[in-house]
Amino acid sequence: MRLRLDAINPFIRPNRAAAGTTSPSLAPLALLVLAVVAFRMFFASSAEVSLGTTVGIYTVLALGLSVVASFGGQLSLAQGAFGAIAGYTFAILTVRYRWPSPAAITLGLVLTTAVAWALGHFLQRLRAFYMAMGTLAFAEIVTVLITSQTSLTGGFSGIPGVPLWRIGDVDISSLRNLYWVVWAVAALSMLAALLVLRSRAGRELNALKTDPLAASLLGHDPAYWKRGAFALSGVYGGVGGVLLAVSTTAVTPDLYSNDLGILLFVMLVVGGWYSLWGAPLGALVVTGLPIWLQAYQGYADLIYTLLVLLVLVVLPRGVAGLAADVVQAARQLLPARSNAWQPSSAGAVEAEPEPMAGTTR
Amino acid sequence: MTLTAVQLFSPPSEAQLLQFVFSGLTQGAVLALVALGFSMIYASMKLLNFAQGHYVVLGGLVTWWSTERLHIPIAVAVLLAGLVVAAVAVATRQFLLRYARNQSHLNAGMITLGTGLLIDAVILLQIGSDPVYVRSFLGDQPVRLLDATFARQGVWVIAMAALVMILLRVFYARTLIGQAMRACSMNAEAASLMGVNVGLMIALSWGLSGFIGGLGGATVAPLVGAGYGQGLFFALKGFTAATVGGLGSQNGAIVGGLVVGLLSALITGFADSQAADLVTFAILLILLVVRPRGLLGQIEVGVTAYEPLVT
Repeated sequence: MRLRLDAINPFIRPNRAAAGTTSPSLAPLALLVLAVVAFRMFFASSAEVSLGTTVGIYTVLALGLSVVASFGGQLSLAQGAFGAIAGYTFAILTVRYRWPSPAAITLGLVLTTAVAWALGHFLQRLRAFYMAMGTLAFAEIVTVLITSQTSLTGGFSGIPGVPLWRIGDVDISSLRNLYWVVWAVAALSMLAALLVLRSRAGRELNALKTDPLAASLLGHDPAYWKRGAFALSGVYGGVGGVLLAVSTTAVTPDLYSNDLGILLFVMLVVGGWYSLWGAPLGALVVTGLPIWLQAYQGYADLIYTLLVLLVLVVLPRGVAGLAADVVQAARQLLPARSNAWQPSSAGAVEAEPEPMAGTTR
Repeated sequence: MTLTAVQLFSPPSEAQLLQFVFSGLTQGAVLALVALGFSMIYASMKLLNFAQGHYVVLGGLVTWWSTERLHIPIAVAVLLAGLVVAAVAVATRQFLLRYARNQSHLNAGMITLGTGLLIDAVILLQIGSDPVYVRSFLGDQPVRLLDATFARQGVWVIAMAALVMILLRVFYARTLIGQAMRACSMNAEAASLMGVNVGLMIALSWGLSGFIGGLGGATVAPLVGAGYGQGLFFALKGFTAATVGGLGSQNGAIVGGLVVGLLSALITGFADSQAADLVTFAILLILLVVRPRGLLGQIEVGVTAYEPLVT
């Protein structure tokens, strides 16, 4: 493996073909908006709308994971716990202390971000699996705290009656309105994540992922960006957690169980964790598949996990990677344009800087 | 079992304390086996097998299946559980990890997590969401010792773990294959130059870790049952044990298992099981931050997620 300076040094403008994920295009965002609107036009039953809403919420949650996993190169299983912290803060403040919703949401988000930052700070030394186990332990602790502090959190039965959400006369937490709210938030989250990854932060995270040692030798502080990535994932987790609470009008330990952390992870894997687009695609597949598999009754779980394993073995870049490959192949079928305007992929490889002496390992 | 208020609020008697310690030893024995399974696979390919806890549950399920449905004698059923889980573990390595198109550690770790979820799905399909309990090996008659009563099955669990530990020690120290496996974990390249079949040794490591996981699960199933969703919990507790002792060291696995088992049994006795989980996982978090290589560990833990895997 050789050092790729353009990937390591965030001050060198990335060569798109070489750096891969560093500078994601904004164009698919329009496609997402189109898909969201189209879904609502073609599917109108309440079950379908609520499915769409769930996909949107999971997209937001999985995006946070994506920031940590695909760009920081870290496995985090704490995303569900971040959602739980924000959701419970929101529910406790509004139901028990009669706070207005915006104030409760703000405090919930601030708290979640702070906790996520602190977790990133303390665990930043850990690599891959140790990070996964550390975040899993953190998630277990949050779950135990939630189920044991009965007076505050309601224990296993949770807190019912999270207030409906109104702006003026419009009840935006009604099923049909919530769909638009959730997807507006999801699209904005997506845009924000894309912008972050197109900025210096994205290149720093990519450097960190490619080779942490080389990045730190070049004077970049992995700890700083890891904390940042975690804090950002906390923001996404918090937003998703509050949306989850609003959509179910109650918070329960089951809603944010450790299974959620793992489910989100499966989404990222299936969707493709090399790309931010893995989050919405994975959320769609993972939420939609069980419904589609309902026909197979008891075998649904089995087929589902087998499919996940299949994706892991044969499609390591997930559904998003497959989509990218299809787009790439389609582009190469249009010879005139690709020859005239942009270097083909073979040209891009040639343009990659030769490794300097001493940088090969 | 009903505790009266007097029992609850009085300090525990010696008999109770003895009971807690015994229950801690029982838990510790199982956790040591899980920790050892983690260690073996980590030593052979620097990979953490997230399905390690599921192996224990699968072992329990196979035992239940063969004793209740097929009416196989329990001794054969325990052995069968070990072999079936070993086969699952070897298959994971042979058919999933080796043929994965993405050979990074991160992807491999996710594949093991996926096999764990698959085992959970099989459990859900076979027995539903409620755990099944295997009959105790020699009846439920509790053992009495110094006013304290112990679950008879606990003796089996501890004995089985001790037997496995001793046999493994002999295997690694005395047999040629055991020495070859150790050589591979030290330096796979050098070992292969010396004529060791590295791939075979890695497959053997997987088989062994599955085997001991299955045996542990078969013996502990009468006490805790085998059910959906227990696997990851076992894995996390076993990983805590491995981290306390130090990943990659057999003594570490024993010490870690006993420390975690005793601690959680004592806290469960004096407070409740939730407090025990809280303390266990807090210890794991703190250890990971302060001393990730554990008390007795020698392995430097620091594999990057994207480093190619040795399969």
